[in-house]
Amino acid sequence: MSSSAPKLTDSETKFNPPQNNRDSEVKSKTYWSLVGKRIITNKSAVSGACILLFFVSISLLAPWIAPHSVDVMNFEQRFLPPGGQHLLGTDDFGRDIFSRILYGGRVSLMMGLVAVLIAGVIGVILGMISGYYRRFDIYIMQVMDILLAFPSLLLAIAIIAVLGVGLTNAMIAVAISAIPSYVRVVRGSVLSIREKEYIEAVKALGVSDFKIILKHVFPNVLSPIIVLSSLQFGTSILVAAALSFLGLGAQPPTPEWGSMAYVGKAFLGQAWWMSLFPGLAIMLVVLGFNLLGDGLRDALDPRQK
Amino acid sequence: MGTNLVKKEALLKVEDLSIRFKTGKNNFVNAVSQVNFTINKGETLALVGESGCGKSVTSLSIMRLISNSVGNIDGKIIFNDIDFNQLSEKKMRSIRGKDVSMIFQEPMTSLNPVHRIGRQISEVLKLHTDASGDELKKQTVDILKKVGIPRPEKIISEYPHQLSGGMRQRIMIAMAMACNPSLLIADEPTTALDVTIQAQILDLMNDLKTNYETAILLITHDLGVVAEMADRVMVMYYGQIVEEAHVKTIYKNPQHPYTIGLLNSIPSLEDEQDNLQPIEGNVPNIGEITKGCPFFSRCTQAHSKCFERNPPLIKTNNEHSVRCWLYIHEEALA
Amino acid sequence: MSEILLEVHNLKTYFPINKSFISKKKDFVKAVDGVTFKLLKGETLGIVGESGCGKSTTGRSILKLIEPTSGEIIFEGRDVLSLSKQELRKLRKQMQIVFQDPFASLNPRLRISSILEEALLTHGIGKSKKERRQKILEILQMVGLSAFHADRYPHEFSGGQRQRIGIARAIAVGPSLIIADEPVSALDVSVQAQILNLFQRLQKELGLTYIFIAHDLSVVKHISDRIGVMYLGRMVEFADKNQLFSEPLHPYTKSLMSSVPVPNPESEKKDRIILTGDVPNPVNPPLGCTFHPRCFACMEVCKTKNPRNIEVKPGHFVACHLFEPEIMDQETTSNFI
Repeated sequence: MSSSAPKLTDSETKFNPPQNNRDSEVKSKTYWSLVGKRIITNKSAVSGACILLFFVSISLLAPWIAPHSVDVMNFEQRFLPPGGQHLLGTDDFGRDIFSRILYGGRVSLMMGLVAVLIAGVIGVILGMISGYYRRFDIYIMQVMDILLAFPSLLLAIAIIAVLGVGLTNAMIAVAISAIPSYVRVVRGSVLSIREKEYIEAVKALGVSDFKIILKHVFPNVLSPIIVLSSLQFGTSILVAAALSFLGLGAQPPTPEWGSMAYVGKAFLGQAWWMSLFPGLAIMLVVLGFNLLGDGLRDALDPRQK
Repeated sequence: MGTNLVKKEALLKVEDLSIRFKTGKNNFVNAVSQVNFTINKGETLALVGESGCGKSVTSLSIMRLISNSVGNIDGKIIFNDIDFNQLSEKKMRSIRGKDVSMIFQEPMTSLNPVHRIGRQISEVLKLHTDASGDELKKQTVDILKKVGIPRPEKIISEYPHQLSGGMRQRIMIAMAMACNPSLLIADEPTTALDVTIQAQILDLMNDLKTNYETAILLITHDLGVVAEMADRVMVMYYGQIVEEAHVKTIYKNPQHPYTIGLLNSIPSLEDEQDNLQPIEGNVPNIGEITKGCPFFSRCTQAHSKCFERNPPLIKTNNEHSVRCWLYIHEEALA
Repeated sequence: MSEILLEVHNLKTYFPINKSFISKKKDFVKAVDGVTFKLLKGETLGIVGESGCGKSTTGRSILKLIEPTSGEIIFEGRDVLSLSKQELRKLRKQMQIVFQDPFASLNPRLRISSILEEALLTHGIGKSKKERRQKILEILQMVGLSAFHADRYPHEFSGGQRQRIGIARAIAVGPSLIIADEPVSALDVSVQAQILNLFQRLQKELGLTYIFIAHDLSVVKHISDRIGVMYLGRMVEFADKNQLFSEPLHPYTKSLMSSVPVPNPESEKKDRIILTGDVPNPVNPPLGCTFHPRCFACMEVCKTKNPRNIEVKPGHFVACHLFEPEIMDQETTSNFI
C-alpha cells in the first residue's frame, strides 16, 4: 500500500498555491445580521410590518393628527355618515369616529403589548423550567393543560369574573390566557436543545445551569418566542377587543376599538360606520401581526440558508 | 472478486455524464463533470470517494431519479443498448426495480413504516410480474429465503420497526433482487450497519452476485469494503473520476496523489504504523474550486500547471486511467 | 508500573423505561452493566464495540454527564460519585470530553472565541480579557487552526475543522483525561487521519490520558495502548493492544476482528467468522452470557450463568466460560482457544 507518485523533475519546481484568502478576508456575519437580511426580503414580513408601523404611528401621533377631540360631545352632529368634516362619521354622542379610532389604537395596542409582555415573561420562564428541569415538568404542564382546555376568551371572562371589570384586569386576563401557548412552545424547543451535544459539552466544562440556560438555551429558543409573540400580539388584541365588546374591558368613555364596535352594535341599522371602522382597524392590525409572524417564522427558520 | 472476466459484455455505459445543480436563478455548480464508465455483465464496479464528491448523484442520475428542477443532466446512459434518455417516464419505471434496482444507505427510512414487509415486497413483484394470490405470497417468501431471512412466513406479516437495522437492509436487498435485476446499484449499503452485520450483508451480496450474475455498482467510502467486493475501482474527487483501474492495481500501484493519500490515511489492522499520513486540508464543497485541478491545494506533488489547468483523464496503460499532470507528457498531448 | 489515574469499578448505568405517572413498575435498559477497569496515566484506552453496546454511556457516566446507577469511579484518588456539586464542577477541569458529531457539539450562535472563552472563564483561567484572548489564540494554534478563525461561527467550518474546535475546547481548561466519544467516525477518511494525528500529538505535548471510544477496530488499534471490547453493556475482553490483536480470546472479539474488511484485495482470505443474528434488545438481554445466542462456541453453562472476569494472562481479562480453569482442562473445548 506504500507507493508514491513519480517525483517531479528539477525543472518543475514545487509551486506554492496561493493561500485560501477567502478564509482570512471575508468578515463573518452574525446570525442576526443574516436574519435581518432575510426579513427585509420577505414579502409577508415586510407588508405586515408596514401595516403595523402605520397603526402604531397614527396612534402615537393621535394628539397631533386627530381632527377633533375624543370626548367632546355634540348632539347636533350625532350619526353623521362618513365624509365631509368627519372622515369616518360620528357616533351616538356626535364624537368624531376617526379621532376616536386614532386614540383607541393607543389603548388597544397597549393592551396587546402589556398582555404579550406579561404572558411572554411568565410563559418563557415556566417553559424553560419545565423543559430544562424535568422534575417540575409534569406539574407545570398539567396546570397549563387545564388552562388550555378553556377557549382563551372564556378563560379571560372567568378571570375577569374573579378580578372585576376594568382595563387593567382585562389586560391581566388576556395575559393569563396567553401563558400556556408560550409555555408549550418554549418547553418544546428547550427539550430539543437540552439534548444537543453542545449543551452536554458546556455541562462537561462545569458551567452552571443558570449560565447554560441564559447563554446557550435562551438564545436558541428566541426565534420561536419572537414568532409566537407577533402572532400572540394579534390574538391578544382580538381577545381584549372582544372583552371590551362584551363590556368587560375598557369602559366608556375610554375610546377602545372593541368597545366602540360594541356600542355601535346597537345602532347598526342607522349608523353602520360606528361598528365597521373600529372592526376594520382590529382586523387590519391582527392581519398585520399575522403577516409579520408568518414572515418571521420563515426568516428565522434555521433550515433556510 | 477474482472472477476472470472472459466475456466482457458491456451492460451499462455512461458517457459524458455531467450534472449541474441550480443554486440561483442563473447560477449553476457542477456536481459531476464528464464522467465516463462502463459496467460489464456480472462485474462489480466500486465508485469510491468522500462526502460531496458526486458519487451518489451519479448513481441517482443513472436511474433518472434527479428531477430537472434541481439541475441539468447531460450525457448518455446506455443500458443493454437502450438509451435511458430516449425512454418515456412510464418505460423508465418499468425498468427501475426490474432490470436495474437500487439499495440505499439508510435501511430505516427506505421502508414504509405503515405497511407490512410482505406487502412492500409483493408490491414490487406485482409491478413487474403477473404473479397474484398464493403464487405472489409464495414468491415473496422465496425471495426472503434467498436473502437468508429466518422465519420468512412470519416476517412477511411484521412491520419495519419490528426488525433490526441488519434485517431491514436484508429486506431492502430482497426487494431489490425480487426481479433478478441485471444491475444492482448499492449506495453505501453497509455504512449504517455494525461490522458484524456488515460482514453478513457483504457476504450476502457476494452470494447473490455469483448465483445470479448480477452486476453491482457499489458506491462507498470504505476502502476495506472495496477491496473485498470490487472487480474494478473508480475513484472520484470533486465530481470527476480521478483514477480507474482493476482493484488489485489500485491497491498495489495507485497513481493519482489523491488515491495514494486515501490509502495512506487509513489505519491498518495488519501492520503497525506510528503516524498516519493524512491528506492535508479539507474536502472542498461543490462550486468552491473554479480553476485548475480540484485536488491542487491538498496535493503534495502540485506544481504550477496544476493550478492553471485541469488535467484530462488519460490511460497510463490498457486498464488504468488517471487524471493527473504527473502522468501526462507534453508530446502525448500534442 | 505507572500511576493509576482512573479506576472504574463495577459501573452500572440503567435507564428506566415505561416510566408512567401511575404505575410504579419500571423496566430498565441496562446500558452499562458492571464495567470495571483501571486507567493508567498517559495511556490511551480504547473502548470498542457495536452500536448499543454501552460504550458511549460508559464514557458519559464516568464524567457524570449521565448519572450512573451504581459502582465506583475513583479519579486521582477521589470518588467522583460522592462529590458535591461544587467539587464536581472543579473536577470537570480535569476530565473533558470530545464528541462524535462536530455539527451538534458547537453552539451555532457563538463565535469560536466565545466558545473557548467560556471554558476559560468557568475555571478562572486568564485574569484579563487580553490574557484570555492570548490563551485562546494559543489553543487554536495548538489544534492547527489560525488566529483569524477565532471570530468565526461554527457553520463556517468544515467537519474536520469543527472537530479541531471541539478538541480545543476540551484542552482549553488543561485536563489530564479526555474522553473521546467516536471523535472521527463522522469525518471523511482523508480528514480522519489528520484528527487522529492531532490526538497523538496533543497527547505527547500535554501528557494527556485518553479514553478513546470507537466502533472502528482499525482506528482503535491505531491509537490505543490497551483495548476493552464491549458487548451489550459488559466488558467482554480487556487487554494490551498487541496482546489482544495477536491473541483474541473471547469469541465475540474474534468474530469482530474477522468481520472488518481488509483494505487489501490480495490478502489471503482468512476463515471469516460471520455471526448469525443481531445484537439482542438490551431491555431483555439473554440470560447467562449475553453473547450466547450468537456464539459459535456456546455451551450449556453459557445459557444460564453469567461469566466472570478471568485474568488469563497478566493484564488480559476475558469474560467467557471457555476460560474457566475447569472447562479449559477438558479437551473437547480446547480447539476453540
